[in-house]
Amino acid sequence: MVQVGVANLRKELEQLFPGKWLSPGESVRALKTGLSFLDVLSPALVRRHLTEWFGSSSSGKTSVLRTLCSRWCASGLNIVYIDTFDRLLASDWCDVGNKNEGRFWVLRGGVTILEREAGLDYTKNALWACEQLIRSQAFDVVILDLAERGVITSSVHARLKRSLERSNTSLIVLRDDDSLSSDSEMGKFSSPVSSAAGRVDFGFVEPVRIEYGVDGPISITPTIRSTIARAILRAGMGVSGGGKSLEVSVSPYVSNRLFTHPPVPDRRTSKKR
Amino acid sequence: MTFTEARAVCSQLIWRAYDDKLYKSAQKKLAGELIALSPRIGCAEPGIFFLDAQGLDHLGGEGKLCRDLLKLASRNGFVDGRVGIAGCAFTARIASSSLKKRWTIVPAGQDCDFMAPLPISLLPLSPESLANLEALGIKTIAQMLALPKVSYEGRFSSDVISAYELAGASDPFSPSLPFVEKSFDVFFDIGSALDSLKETLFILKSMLDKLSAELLKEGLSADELTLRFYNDNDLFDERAIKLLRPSVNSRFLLDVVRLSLESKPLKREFTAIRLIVSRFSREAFEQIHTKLGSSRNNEKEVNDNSVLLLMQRLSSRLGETALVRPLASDGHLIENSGFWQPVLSRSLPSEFLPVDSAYVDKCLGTPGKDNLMPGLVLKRHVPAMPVFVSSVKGDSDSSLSASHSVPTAVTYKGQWYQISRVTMPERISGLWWEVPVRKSYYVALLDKLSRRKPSRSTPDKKSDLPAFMTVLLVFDHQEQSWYVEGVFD
Repeated sequence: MVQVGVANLRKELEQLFPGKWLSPGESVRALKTGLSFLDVLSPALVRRHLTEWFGSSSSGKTSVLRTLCSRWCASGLNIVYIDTFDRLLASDWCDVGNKNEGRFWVLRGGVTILEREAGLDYTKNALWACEQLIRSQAFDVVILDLAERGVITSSVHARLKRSLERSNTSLIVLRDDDSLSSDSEMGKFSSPVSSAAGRVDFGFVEPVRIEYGVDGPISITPTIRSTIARAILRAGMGVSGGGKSLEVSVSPYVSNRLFTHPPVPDRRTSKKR
Repeated sequence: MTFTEARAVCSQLIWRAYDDKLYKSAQKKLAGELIALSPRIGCAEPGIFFLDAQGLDHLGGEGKLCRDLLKLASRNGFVDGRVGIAGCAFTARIASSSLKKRWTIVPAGQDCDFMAPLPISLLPLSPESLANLEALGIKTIAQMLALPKVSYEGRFSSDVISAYELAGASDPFSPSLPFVEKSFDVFFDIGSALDSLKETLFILKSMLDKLSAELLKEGLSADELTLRFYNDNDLFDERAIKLLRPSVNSRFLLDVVRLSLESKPLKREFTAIRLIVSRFSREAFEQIHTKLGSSRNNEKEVNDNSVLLLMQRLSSRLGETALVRPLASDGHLIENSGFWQPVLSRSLPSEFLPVDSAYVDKCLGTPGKDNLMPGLVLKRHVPAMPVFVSSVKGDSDSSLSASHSVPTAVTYKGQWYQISRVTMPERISGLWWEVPVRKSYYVALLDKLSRRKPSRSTPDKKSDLPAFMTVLLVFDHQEQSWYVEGVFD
C-alpha cells in the first residue's frame, strides 16, 4: 500500500516537475562534471548512455569538453577521444591526463589527404573502434567526434546501445551542424541519433571578451552558451517529459600560451616596423 | 668513395641496403653444412664460425680439416675463407685473420708464444683504453702480459681485464653441440580456389588450433605469426602479424588474424595457406593474487588485460600509431608545441623539447571552479583552406591576398564574411635550414549578421555558418597567400 502511494507520488511529481526526478541509482551512474551549469539541475552525462554534443563547427563544445576531460582524468577516470578526421592539435590537449591520474588517449583516423580526397568512408573505422572501446570496459568516457558527417545509422546505433548497456561507459557524440546553429534553432531536438539519452547544444554568443596587449587585441574569446535538452535526458531513462531547457553562459578564462623560453624575437628589420 | 662516384666507375652497380636477416640466414645455412666436418659448432658475428677440432687425428688430422673446410665454403660460394686452429677460440680467430696463408695452425700449448709479438690493437679494447695502454708504452701482447693482472685491476676499465684474459689464451668460449631448431608451421593446400573470408577463417582456425597445441606441448607462446597465401605455387600475399603480448590462445590468435584480413583484404583468390609462428618465447605464468582484499589490484589487472586485447585489435586494423596520447613540447611553432605519441611506443620525436611544466603551471595558474581551461580548442583544416581576404570595407572584390595587411572580410566555404574582430598578428618564423616557415597568425571573429551582400554573379543562398565563428587566419609570407588553418571550437 505504501509502495503504491510512493509510486503515485513519484508520477505526480514527475508531471509537475518534469526532468527533476532521479530514479534510484541514476545519481551513482551520473558523471559529475564539476561545472555548475551542467550539474546544477540534473546530470548531463550518464554512464551506459549516449549523449549528443551538438553545435556549429565553431561553437565552444570541444573547449567545454576539454575542461571536463581534464577534471575527469584528475579524478581517475579513463577517457578516449576518437578524432575521426585528425583535426585535434596535440598542444591543446597536453594538460589533460598528463599527471599520474586517469589516462587520456586519442584515436586518430590516420587518413591521408589522398584518401580524404578519394572519399574514403573513414567513419566506418571510427564507429568500429568506438564499439570496441566501449566493449573493452577499459574507459569511463568514450568521445566520438563525427564532425559534419555525424550520421549514425539505426543498425550502428543499436550496436552501440547494446555495447553501452553491457559496459560502464558514457558515450559522447560530438557533431557539427552549421545549418541548425542559429540562435532561434538552438535547443530544438533534431538529433541524428534516434534515441540519444541527452543532448547539449552549444554556440558562441555576445559578449566577446578581448584581451589587449601592447599594440592591440591579442586574444578574442566569445562567450559559450550551452543549452541542455533535459527532456531528452529523461527520455533516455525511460521517463517522458516536456522540452524545458536550461541556458547558462560561461566566459572562459583566457591566458596567453606561455613557454619556458623567451618570446620569439621579432626579426623584421627596423624599416619594415 | 660515395655511391655516385662508384656508379660513375661502374654503371652496373646496384645499391642494396644491409639486411641483417639475410646475413643471419646465410650464416645459419653454412653452419648447417659445417656440421658434417665437426659435431661442435658455434657462430659469432656474420662470417665467423668456431668448430671443435679435437679428436680428428684418425680422420686425417688438422691439416685435412682445414682443406675440407675451405672446400666446403667454396662450394657454398665463399671462396675467400681463412682457417685458424689453436688451443682457444680467440687465438684461433687471430690465426685465421692472416692474409698470407689460407690456414694457420698454432701448435698445441703455444698459443701465448703465437700471440706474444702481435700488437694489442688486435685485442677487443675500447679506443680510450688502447690509447692509454699505448701511452704507457704497452704496444704488444707480450708487453701487456709482462705485467701481472693485479696491475691493471682498479686502474683500467673491465675491457682491459677481459682483454688480458684473452691475451693469456684463456678464452671461455667453446663451440657446443647444435640444438635442434624448433619450427611451428602448417601448410594447407585446399585444392581449389577460395576467396571467402568466412571459409578462410574456418581453415585458419583449424591451423591455429594445431599450432597452439604444439606450442602448448613445448611450453611456448607465439610472439609473431606469418601468414602466406599462394595461388598455384605463386606467393602473392605475405603478412607478419606482431602480437603485443605472447599468446597461445587459439581464439585470440584467430581474432587477430581476422582483424588483419579485414583491414587488409586479400587481392585475389588463393589455393594454399602457410601459417608460421615466426617468433615464439617461453610461456609466462603469472600468479593470481590470492591475498584477501586485493580486489582493486585484480580489477586493475583485468582492466590491463582488456586494454591489451583492445590495443591489439586497434593496431591490427588501424595501425600501431592510431592510438596516441598528447605530449607537450617546448616549440614555438604550432605544429611543434605538442606531439602525438603512440601509446605502443615510448620513442620520442626528434623535435621533442621537454617543457618545464612547473613554470607553466605557475604562470597559468589554476582555473576557478566554473572556469574553463585557458584558450579555445583549435580544430584544424587538413590541409589548410586557402581563402581570399579583403582589407577595405565596402569593396568586396578587392582581394589583397598578394599583400599583407589586416583583413576585414574573408571568404569561407564559398561566401564572404565580415571579420568583426581580429587580433594583432602573431608572427612566427623558423626552420630556415629545412623548409622555411614565415607566417602571421590572426584569431578572427567572423560575423554572419553583418555579412556582405553577394556579388551579382553568385546567387543569394542561406548561409550555413553560425552567428559567431572564431577562426585561425594565417598569412603565409613564403607563399604570399591567406589560409584558414582551423576553427576554434
